[in-house]
Amino acid sequence: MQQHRLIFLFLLLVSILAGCSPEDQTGYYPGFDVPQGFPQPVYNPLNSGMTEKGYALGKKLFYDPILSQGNVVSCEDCHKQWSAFADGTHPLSHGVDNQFGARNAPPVFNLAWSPYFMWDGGINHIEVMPVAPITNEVEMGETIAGVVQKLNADDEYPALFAEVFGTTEITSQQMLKSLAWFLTSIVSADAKYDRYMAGQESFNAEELAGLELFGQLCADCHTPPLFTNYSFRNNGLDAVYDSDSGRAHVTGMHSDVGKFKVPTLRNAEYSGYYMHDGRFNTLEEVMNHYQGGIVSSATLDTALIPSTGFALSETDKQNLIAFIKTLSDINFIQNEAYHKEN
Amino acid sequence: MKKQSYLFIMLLLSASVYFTSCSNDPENADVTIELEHMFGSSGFNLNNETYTNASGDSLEFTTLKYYISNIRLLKTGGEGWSETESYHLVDLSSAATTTITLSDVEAAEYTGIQFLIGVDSARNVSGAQTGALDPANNMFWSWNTGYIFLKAEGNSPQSSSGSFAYHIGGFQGANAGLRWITLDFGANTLIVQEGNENMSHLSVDVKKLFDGSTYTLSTSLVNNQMMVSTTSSSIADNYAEMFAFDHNHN
Repeated sequence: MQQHRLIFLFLLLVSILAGCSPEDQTGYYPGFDVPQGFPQPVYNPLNSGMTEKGYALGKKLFYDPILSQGNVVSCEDCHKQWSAFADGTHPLSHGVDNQFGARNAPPVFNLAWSPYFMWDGGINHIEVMPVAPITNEVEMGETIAGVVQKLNADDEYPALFAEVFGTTEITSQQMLKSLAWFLTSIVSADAKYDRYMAGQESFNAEELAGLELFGQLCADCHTPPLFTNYSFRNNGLDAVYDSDSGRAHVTGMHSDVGKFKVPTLRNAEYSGYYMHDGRFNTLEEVMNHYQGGIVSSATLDTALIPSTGFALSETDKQNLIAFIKTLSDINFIQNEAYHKEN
Repeated sequence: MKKQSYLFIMLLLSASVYFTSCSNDPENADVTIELEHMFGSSGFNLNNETYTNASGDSLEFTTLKYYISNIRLLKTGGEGWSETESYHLVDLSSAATTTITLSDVEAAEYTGIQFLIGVDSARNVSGAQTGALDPANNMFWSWNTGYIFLKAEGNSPQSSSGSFAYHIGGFQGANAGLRWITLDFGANTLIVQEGNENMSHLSVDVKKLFDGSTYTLSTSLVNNQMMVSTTSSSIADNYAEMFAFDHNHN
């Protein structure tokens, strides 16, 4: 009798757990929350209709080469989670037919707070951002009409889109919204720095010294908590910018030549290569640039004049790097919510 | 008692019929706008037809597409009638797109028509759109967000490349390509009501794209224009002159 009761309880427990298991899937759905200390986002995916299934659909698209010509290149090929969704393996990424782009693939996180996208800020909305890499000849080389046609002809996608949008025909708008939901749900705000700011962890002497120097020299542009102020600056990489005029490419203004968007420094330890063309391999090289490598030109940022650079000792540079590494968010890098699902 | 309730029900029924028929607006009607494309005095067609502008450039068009948006029928004393979700892509490779149907137009006498060439700034900054504004229509700049308002491409031996490509847009700033068009129907007003033809004919003279009153576009000088600039703004001034009222059918 006692045994029967135990068996019954065991069976009950099994059935409860089995009943729960679909709920466990929500562990892979991050939803969207504004982290402590962050401003309100520019784009809140929940306000544009994101659901768990919509998020999963966007994630599937992100990892699927169906978005490219010949189904060979996915978003992930140039935006890898272990590299904070930057490239990590190439200064310049290669797309269809092994062609190389002109710019370094930027990391993908905290995009919900970004007022514009790309190194030149030419794209004004996260929902239309993917149109650029999908249609760029050297990136994914597809047409929007081509992608939509392939999605509609696919075995799986029509049912998945129908579940999310309630329609039978997949449109580019639905594809782009799904991608935007996934992309803006990628959030990194759990670095040692964040725990330090919350009083949960302490900095060592190097990190503290780096924090102080950072506040004096870097924070005007790399402004906490996002570690960018989204401005466009010429940080003295070159004397001329003939091959890539940066911001001027979209504004047509001479005063914008050589200016590029200030990148976030969160996860910089993981997201190298550095600069718009990926010219630096290491944070040490970046420090050396700001110390003694700045090149003068008409649009050089006033904070970097005189162009001799910052008077940084070797210790200063090591302290700054120690601080920058406190912005590394290993929980974000390993977050299963962003992993590819089969 | 029985008779009273019967009368009451009849009263209620007739009242409901009366109110239902009122809310139907039986007078409202669909209006058809026909866009008749010309090159000067010749009919305009894509491909295998050659036209000559005032500069003497020989022109064969392979593409002509443009946006008409925010259509409003004007009337004396009042706001007029505005189409909701008013975005139309006219594509000369698809004859059906040269006819625009306005649905359920308020019955009234209209004195003119107003519309925008291009896509208003709001839709240029609001993310992914659909329908006429679907980026799949290839009227969208991916690298510098914004719609191409007018795209004209073709061949011209006077061009150094042998061809021309004008992609005109820009929704903000001094060189924006947005142009409001207002056309007066004069004495030939459009009287919209059920049973009428409710048809308005506008002519579109593509020659004006090259030969405007303040700017002359020649393929020998400018054969490729894809950035927003003073030149693209001058070309927009020209396309604003392409549109004219022809006649209405009532």
